Amino acid sequence: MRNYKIVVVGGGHAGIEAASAAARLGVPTALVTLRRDRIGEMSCNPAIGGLAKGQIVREVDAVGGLMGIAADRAGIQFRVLNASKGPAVRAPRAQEDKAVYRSVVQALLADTPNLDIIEAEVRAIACAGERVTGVMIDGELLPARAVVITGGTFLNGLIHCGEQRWHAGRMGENASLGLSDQLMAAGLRMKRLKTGTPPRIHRDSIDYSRFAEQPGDDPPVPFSFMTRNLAVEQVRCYIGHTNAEVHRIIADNIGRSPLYSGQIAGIGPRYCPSIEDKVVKFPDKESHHIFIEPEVRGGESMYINGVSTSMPEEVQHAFIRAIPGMENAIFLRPGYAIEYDALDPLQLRATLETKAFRGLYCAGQINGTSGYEEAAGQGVVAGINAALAVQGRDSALFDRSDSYIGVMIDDLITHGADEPYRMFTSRAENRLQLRADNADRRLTEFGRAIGLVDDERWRLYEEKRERFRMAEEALTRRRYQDGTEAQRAGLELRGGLKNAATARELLKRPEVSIEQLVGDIAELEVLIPEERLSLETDEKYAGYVRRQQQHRDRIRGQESRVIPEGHDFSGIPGISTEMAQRLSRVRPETLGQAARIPGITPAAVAALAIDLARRRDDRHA
Amino acid sequence: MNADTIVAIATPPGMGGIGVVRLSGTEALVIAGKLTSPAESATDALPDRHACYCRILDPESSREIDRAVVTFFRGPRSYTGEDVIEFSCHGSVPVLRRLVAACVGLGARPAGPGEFTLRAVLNGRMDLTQAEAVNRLIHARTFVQAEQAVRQLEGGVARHVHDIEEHLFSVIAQMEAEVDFAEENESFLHRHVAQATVLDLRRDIESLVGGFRLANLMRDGAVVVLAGRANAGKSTLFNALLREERSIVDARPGTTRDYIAESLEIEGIPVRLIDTAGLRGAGEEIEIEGMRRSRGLIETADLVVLVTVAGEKHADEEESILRALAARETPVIMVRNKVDLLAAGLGCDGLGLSARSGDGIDRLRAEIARALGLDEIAREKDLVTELRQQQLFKRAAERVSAAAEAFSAGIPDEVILEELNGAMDALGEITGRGGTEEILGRIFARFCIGK
Repeated sequence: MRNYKIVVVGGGHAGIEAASAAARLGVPTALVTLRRDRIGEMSCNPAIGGLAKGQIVREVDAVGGLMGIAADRAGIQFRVLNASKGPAVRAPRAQEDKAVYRSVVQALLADTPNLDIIEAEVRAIACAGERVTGVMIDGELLPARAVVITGGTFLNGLIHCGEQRWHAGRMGENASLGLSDQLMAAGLRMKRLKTGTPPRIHRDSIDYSRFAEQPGDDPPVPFSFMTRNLAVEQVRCYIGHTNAEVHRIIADNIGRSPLYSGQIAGIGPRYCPSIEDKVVKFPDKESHHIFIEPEVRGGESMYINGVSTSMPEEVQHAFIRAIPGMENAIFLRPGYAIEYDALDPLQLRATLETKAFRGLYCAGQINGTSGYEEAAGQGVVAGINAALAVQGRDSALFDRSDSYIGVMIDDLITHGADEPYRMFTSRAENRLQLRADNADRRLTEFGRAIGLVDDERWRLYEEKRERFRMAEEALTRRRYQDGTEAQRAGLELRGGLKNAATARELLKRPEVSIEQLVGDIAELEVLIPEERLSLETDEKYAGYVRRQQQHRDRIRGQESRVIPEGHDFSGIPGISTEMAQRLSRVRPETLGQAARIPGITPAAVAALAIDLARRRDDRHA
Repeated sequence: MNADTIVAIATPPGMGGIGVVRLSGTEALVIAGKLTSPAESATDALPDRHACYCRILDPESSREIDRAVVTFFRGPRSYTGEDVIEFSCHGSVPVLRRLVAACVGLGARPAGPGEFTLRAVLNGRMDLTQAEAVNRLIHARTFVQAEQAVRQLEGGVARHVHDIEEHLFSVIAQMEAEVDFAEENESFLHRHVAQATVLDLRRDIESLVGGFRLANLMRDGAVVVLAGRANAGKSTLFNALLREERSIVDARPGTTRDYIAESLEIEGIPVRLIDTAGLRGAGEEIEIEGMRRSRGLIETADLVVLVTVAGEKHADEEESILRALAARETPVIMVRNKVDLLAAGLGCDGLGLSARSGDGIDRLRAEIARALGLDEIAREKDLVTELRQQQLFKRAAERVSAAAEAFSAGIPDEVILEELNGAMDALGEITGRGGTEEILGRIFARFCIGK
């Protein structure tokens, strides 16, 4: 098969989702990657999910993506984070067997119709004017209607380890040189970002008696809606800490860190600092946590989470061996930092297509994000929309009020990414609605309409939807005339019951839980306990969700007011030069996006609205 | 574009024969219904495109604000294309302001500059030339507003707002860290500390809401206290201002032993006028209690009219009142009463009048309005700005209050944060600060985050 419509460049977490989604939507797709056997590699930490990221995995799963399924099959330890906190900030996380993860993903892609994998290096994008025509491989054109670039850290990747540095995409693999130069030459703005990874230490060289064990949850909670049974023997992780001696060694050698010697120019993430950053910026802190996590089940390599570093190898040896329990540590691989080229995401549409070139999409780390989950979420968006465009269908946009994926895309294309962008729950103004427990109910129908949700998932979803409907109906039907009746039914109401109320109304009270109602309302047993909790949260948070909704309704007109492509912001009466510059830089697609650009005043939005109305009238005149 | 209801004075500021207040949006008719009582018609509902002569009543006090011609224009056949109510009132600025304040009390929002016309343009009710004019208007006025939003607050208030913001952002940052960085195995904030901070915040913001002078004066009325030593003629003046025999007047000092209060309007400003017991060295026990109350009333007044006798030297009691008022920065009008008893040709300092003959009473009325800062010169803009800020602070107070209650009900942090973030957004509309990046920046600067 050589007649591809879509070419995906890169086999990381964004590329996997993009290729799989496009192919399953029926578009002939090629995934071009430097090494077939590295598809699905987890370059850094051996875990998927976590706060806000776990929600993204559930969302990817709900629309029919792969990450949730793969993470369940390759997971070796499952935990729900923030279990003691509110339901909106609870999130699933799993330690993964990296080797199994790769093979699961590779098998899933191998079974995907319309998808070929090509082992090659893409040196350039082929364009005719402002339209992509394919990619160049070994001087030959591989034609395509759309190209999705998911370059990760490979574009002009430069590894730093102490004073040494060399070009690489990640340790032991070649960088992709030339592609980003071509993108820049074509007029796209690129920037230099940086990230880092900690050393890998031999399993048998660690004294585990000096560490606290961290077991998984029992029973384990899966990511995917399709995972019914998660029978897994879970491994343990370990928690320890650094000490004053570790910090002294780092401080004494700080001038040899490429981060502090001026050797690294790229901007790193504040939320994922190297150990040298932690020591320098927080000198009063006597110790920092470290986490020991296996990279594969029963394997030799242990990932030392918390000590990401680009110090020279001998300094790494010295400070790692100063950690209690690591006195005899044997290094399998040193930590290192990597600088890479990333696109300024302000140049993207909400579909992740570049504004400059029709048919050219970018997803993942190349867009200035960090994290497997963020990459996967973007891969789904780019793959779906590239396929829809090829098929001549309307694009499928993720709204920031419905999903973390939507929040991420909107943030990227509206605010840009000054540092590698990671998702936090605090980025979502609609956080109480964007929960891990309701991701399937938020997005399965959207995924079905696009065509990525298969019949089996749809059938299970419809069943679930019906069960929720029955339970909601039962809650609405059950009515308590007074406090006595409620009490007889087992409800302890604070402040009694003044007027008759339905069970659904009472469920909004903080002191009433759905489990208290199960004995009284037999229909609630159609739901399993997690589903009941999800329904209870719906009711408890309904007021807040409605308030958010009202706020959105007030500005809904702005979201539907499309700003035409190539709109000139400079000549608009009432818009200052500064405002015009900000608008021109982002080139917002809607009035709503314009209003969210940092520094744009309501007056500028009003003037823009008038300008749009005026031009519309001009056209009609 | 927007569904909310906006209100503003539509005629140019200053005295005019007729002043128009315009109300536009989905709730316009409902709000108007709560304010008007048709003076001549038997039906309650306002008919479309008919002028109705109505009494306009303050919904809280039921006092009449004005009698006016009220016209309802059902959208889209209206100026803005939305439901519009136009109140054609008597052209007194204070009356118009009270009507605006009443509409805001019923859920309308003070309109931004040019906002009616903006809506008209967006709803296709206006041609292009007019749109360009609006553009210039919005630009010119909003620029000034944005630049001065915080400076328009009095110096002390601005500092206060800044402190509140600091505390609010700090508690949000710590609670967000607690939520978003659970993997760190660290505790960023103890819940009881957060709760105490939130309770302090609630108190601070609520006291700020109470401090909006112009807006509150228009809503609640100004407290004007007549003070002075015994037998200076306070009660005669009280009656003269009321134009009725309300206070018992007697030639003997100490006739008013307790205080007497009446509501009236002075130059369109709602005023609570209080006649107090005169201050003097001696007196019966009950009179001494009356004098104690007088001092209390003087302390809480928005304005004190110090009644003295023309041609007489200041008594010790008067000097002590003036000192007390100066310390509190309460405005005071010095009245020299009984000018009719002065020998012809003899002038006096202060505002000379005769409460008995009525000479100079009109001047006093004008002076009271000026001293309260509510005369015709005070511009419409000040009230609108104040109303807008007060509404936003009120919203912030409500959200912080809800957060405080959520703490004690044991509700999860994510809900408390929902409320606190709402408060931050409200303050941010005034100061232009806040937002996720600000909070994340604080977290990363303060805590060592990241594995």
